Amino acid sequence: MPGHAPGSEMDAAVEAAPIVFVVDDEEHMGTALRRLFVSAGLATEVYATGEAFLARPGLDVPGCVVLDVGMPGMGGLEVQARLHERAPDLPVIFLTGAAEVHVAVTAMRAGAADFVEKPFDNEDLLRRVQAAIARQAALREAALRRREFARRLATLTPREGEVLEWIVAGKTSKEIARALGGSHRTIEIHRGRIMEKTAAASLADLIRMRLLVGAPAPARRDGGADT
Amino acid sequence: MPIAIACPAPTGAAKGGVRAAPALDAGDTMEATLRALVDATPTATLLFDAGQRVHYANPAARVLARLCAPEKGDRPLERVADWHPELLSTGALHLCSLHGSWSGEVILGIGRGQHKILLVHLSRIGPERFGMTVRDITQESVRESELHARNAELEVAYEKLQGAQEQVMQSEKLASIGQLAAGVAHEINNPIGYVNSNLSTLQRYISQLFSAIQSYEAALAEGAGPAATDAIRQKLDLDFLVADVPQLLSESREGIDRVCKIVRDLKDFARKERSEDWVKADIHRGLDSTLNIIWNELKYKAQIVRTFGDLPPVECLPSELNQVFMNVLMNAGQAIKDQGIITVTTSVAGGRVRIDIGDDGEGIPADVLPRVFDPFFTTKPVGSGTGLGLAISYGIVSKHHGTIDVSSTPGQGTLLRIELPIEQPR
Ligand SMILES: Nc1ncnc2c1ncn2[C@@H]1O[C@H](COP(=O)(O)OP(=O)(O)OP(=O)(O)O)[C@@H](O)[C@H]1O
Ligand SMILES: [Mg+2]
Repeated sequence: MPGHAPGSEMDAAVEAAPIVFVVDDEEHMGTALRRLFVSAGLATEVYATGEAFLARPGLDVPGCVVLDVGMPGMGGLEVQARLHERAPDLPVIFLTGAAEVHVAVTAMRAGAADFVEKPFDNEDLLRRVQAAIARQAALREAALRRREFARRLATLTPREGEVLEWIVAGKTSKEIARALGGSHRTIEIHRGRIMEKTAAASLADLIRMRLLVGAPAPARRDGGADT
Repeated sequence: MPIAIACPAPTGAAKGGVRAAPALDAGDTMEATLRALVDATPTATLLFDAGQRVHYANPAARVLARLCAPEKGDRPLERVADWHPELLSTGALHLCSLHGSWSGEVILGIGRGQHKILLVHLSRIGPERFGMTVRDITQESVRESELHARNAELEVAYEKLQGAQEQVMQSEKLASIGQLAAGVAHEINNPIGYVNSNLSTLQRYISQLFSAIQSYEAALAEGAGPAATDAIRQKLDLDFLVADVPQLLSESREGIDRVCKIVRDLKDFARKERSEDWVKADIHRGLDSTLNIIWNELKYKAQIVRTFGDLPPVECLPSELNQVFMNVLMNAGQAIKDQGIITVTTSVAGGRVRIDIGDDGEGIPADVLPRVFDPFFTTKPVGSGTGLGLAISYGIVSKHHGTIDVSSTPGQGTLLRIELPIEQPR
């Protein structure tokens, strides 16, 4: 719908600025990486061990982890596994001194965003970090939107939910009235409520919202009385 | 005492040979017994006179006679020359008359290009009377010359083996260097990594500084006041640059120093030595450079505790000893599953230098312990150990006239003790 931003997409929460987390046991490497990311305008935190990094409260944030593979104590692969439990969508870019195929394979299987060999090219690493941050932002936004839509769909009464399923199936109010029993007018009223509660800007917007949420919206047993 | 001169028929002799031995007390029985003895002996034995007439020949002698002159069949052989013209040379007979005995090897052609090698012994038994024993040593000579040939072959094989062993040692060294390469690459890539990154950053800093200079020049030309220069300072973040550039440079220098050190250690370690390159070397230096090289393999697992005593310079092949240290240290590291301690202790004991390398790893079961120095013995997974580490180390230490011993308590750890003489025996 040209010139008309769908209202549903305007409500997504505003995200905090991304943070690059550098985890490397080599102090000077940490400093070098900090120089690189800070001068690219990215907030940067440097940790010398995986343990110290994981101890940081609130890792489920926008950003990216640049993680050394070989570190004394907890190695990079283990840090990745632990992190995954806490912040599954925080992307991890591995930095490694010697590209070992099996480590790369394990890391990528475990969902690493990227795998970069030392010595790396500043610009190249920066691009990869920015790409990972952008990908994560898109994912987070989609997830947020999905949650928001699900929340709105959950406010529908069971009856409205039923009507919505028929709408999504492409039926007209008349067809729905015939299928569900009830007057054409009643269905029209349900429709109006559905549009109102979901804040959908259009029928297309409503259908998109419904499809994004996935499984049928849970019927609200305690919902308002059906007309 | 006259002795019967007739040659007894072989069959008769054979019979005589198996006759029951008579009692030895009577003189004639004694003679019969001696006769039976000589008849039975497998060495050809004959008696002849100065005219070479044969007076007696035992059965073995007649078997030999037929071998020497097969074409003569069963004809009587009355003179020694009838046996074979070259069996008895006049020279030998002359020497025997002179000295009482003669022995030597005689080679007889027996036709069809064949030869017999005989060991002949002559002795003068009385006036004008001689005894002769002949032993056919053709087979033995053949065997002996075969033995010589075999021996020569063995010597050649041995030399080849020695060459091969040197090759194996060299390639084992290369293999362990290859194994190290990944580790060393890691160790080098870290400093190179941040130095490289810092250089890129520095490049940007410098272009920022250049534009600062330009801005200042422009401001000066316009006769701008301090407010304008302050603005430039802030806009280009000059305070930060001024603080960060020296730090960036000193960190980068540290990185380059580290790379240089690793490369130096590697060179130290991998120098190919000829066996005549014996030098008096500092064992501690070898231990340190080896530890530096394999540090990457060890640092995540092990803490290294060095207790170095006062050691004199030791006459050795330093890079070969480094290889021993590396093998033993790698084993120690591999024996530690999680976290542990590796101790490296040196001392002088009993006029020898002692290097103890201990670990608190998994230890070696008693049934495995006697085999750890065997070539190709390994308990490590296929592809990760060749089982040559300790075998090669043993060879190197032996070459230094030293000893290497292992003791271990399963579950508690292992101690490798290397002892080396300070000077090699001359
Ligand atoms: N410090 C140790 N702790 C426990 N076991 C050891 C130790 N050192 C040696 N061993 C045992 O001795 C075996 C032979 O060692 P060796 O160094 O000769 O070969 P490897 O380590 O198996 O292979 P390679 O050295 O060729 O990689 C090992 O497989 C291991 O079982
Ligand atoms: Mg070994």
